[in-house]
Amino acid sequence: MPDNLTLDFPILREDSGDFSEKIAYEVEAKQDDGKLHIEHRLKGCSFISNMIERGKAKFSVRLLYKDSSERQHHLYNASNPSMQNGVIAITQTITMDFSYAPEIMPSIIALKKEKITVNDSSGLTDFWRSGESFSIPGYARIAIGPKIKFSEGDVSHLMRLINDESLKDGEMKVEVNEYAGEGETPVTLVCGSDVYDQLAKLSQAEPVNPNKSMGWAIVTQALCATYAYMQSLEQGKKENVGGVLLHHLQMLADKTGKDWKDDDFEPSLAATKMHPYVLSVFKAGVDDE
Amino acid sequence: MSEYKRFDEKVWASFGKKLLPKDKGSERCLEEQRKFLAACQSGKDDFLKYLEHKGLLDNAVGDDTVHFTYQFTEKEFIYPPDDTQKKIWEAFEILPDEITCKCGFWAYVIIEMVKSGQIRPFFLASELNGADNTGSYMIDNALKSSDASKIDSCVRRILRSMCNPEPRGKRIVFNDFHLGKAYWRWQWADKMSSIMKRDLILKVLNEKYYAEFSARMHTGKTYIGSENIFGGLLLFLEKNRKIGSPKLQQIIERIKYLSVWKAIEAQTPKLNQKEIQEIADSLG
Repeated sequence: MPDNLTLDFPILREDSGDFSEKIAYEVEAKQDDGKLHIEHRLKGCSFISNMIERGKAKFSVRLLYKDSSERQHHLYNASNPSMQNGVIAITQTITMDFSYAPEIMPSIIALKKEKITVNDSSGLTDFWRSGESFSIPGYARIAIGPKIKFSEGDVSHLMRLINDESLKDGEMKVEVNEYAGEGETPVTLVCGSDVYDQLAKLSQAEPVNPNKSMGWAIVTQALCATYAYMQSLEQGKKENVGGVLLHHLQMLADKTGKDWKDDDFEPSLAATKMHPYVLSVFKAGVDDE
Repeated sequence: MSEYKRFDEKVWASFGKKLLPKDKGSERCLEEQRKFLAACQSGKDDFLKYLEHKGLLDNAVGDDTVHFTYQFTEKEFIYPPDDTQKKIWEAFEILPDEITCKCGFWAYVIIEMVKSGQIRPFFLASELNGADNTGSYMIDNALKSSDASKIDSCVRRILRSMCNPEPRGKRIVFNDFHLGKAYWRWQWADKMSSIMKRDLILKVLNEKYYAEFSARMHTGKTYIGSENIFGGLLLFLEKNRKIGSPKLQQIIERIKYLSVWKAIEAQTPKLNQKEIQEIADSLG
């Protein structure tokens, strides 16, 4: 889909440039016991908040259950929400029809054609002159939130965390035990306190969004270091790795087409291909040494 | 949710991967492919023995099964007519979509059908584009050939008929695998029956149009799978039965761009029908 569609009316989205910095549309989602809880937050006064309060626009989500290609949409139909402390916030609770969570595409939709005359409370930048008018067609998306994905935990079986206060901020060591058997964790991330704190926040219940990318990126680096280590092993040792890494080797080959036994294997590329931001909770019993 | 019997998805995918390895045409690859073809040609016992030897039959999960006893002819299996498609759908309609979209589930169904004699293994290799392209002929032809690509092609056809994702991906369930294609055409017709009578939808979604839709609904253009949008498309097609595939593809492409800025998934099917008609008219 084109990211930079130019229309006659402004659309609120990240980096759109039409709206003042005080205006923002944020969405967070959690899953819990077969239900999705999607919190929409529209910050700041704008023509969009005005339309919502008057019932002329509604919060909405499109869901995509990828495996079965099932698409659904859910409009927030409860009574017109109003602004509190500069924010209009609502939570949509949706029962999931599948055992896995969908991709979520949130937006705010204009219910009918609306003519807007720009003024000081429209929430727009100076690009839009006061007194100028524009029309919003019915069903137009006037705000688009970032796509939210809940990802599978692919690599949680591989890694555990240790907080080592002797390490400086930002430091992390990746230790690989290639002989780890079933039930053992072959990769240990020994982290400085700040890195440990960042990684310990990662959890399965919350989806990936840009704000959490720091933690996920650290995990990708650890995965890359693990793959590089495995690639460096002598041939004989590569054939005799423990069950957990062996299982992961198969997964790696399935997902990326290559593994650390291949001559042209690139650890960094493989780590980013392996669902770079996918992680379930780290194993229970995270150690403090 | 009930746990219906199926093969583990990763195990099933791995089975196909081993028959279609990267070193296509190598002696090792050809040897394995020939064994597979020979087992398929030989009959039920040898075919099942081959699958068992590869560790597949031990990797079924789940407890519940579906009672499906229909006896197929070879042609019926490859090209099930409407009344056979209805029987397929009726047998599996109680299952949730989450199961019927899985390759491992349908693979299990196929193997149970082989075990009970509902199909013969060589049906899986059948093409039947011409009179001679029976499964038995295709396998025989491949086994007698020294052409590695002929052997590979035959293996791929069998894997597709078994709903293995390796040849064409997981979407094979919807638009390539014979039983799955039939099932999902009826499943969609049933889902949309609040907008139009099911029998009429099945007339509108004839083989040609269903092929166009299923190729798109289960790949990157899943946006047309939204009920209100698909409903609009069905209403439009009902009034425009002679529209050709190229124009239909263009219309679907335009719908994509429309859905970027307009929440057409929230519009009623009737309103969407109107939008789609306008798109079609603008295309000339």
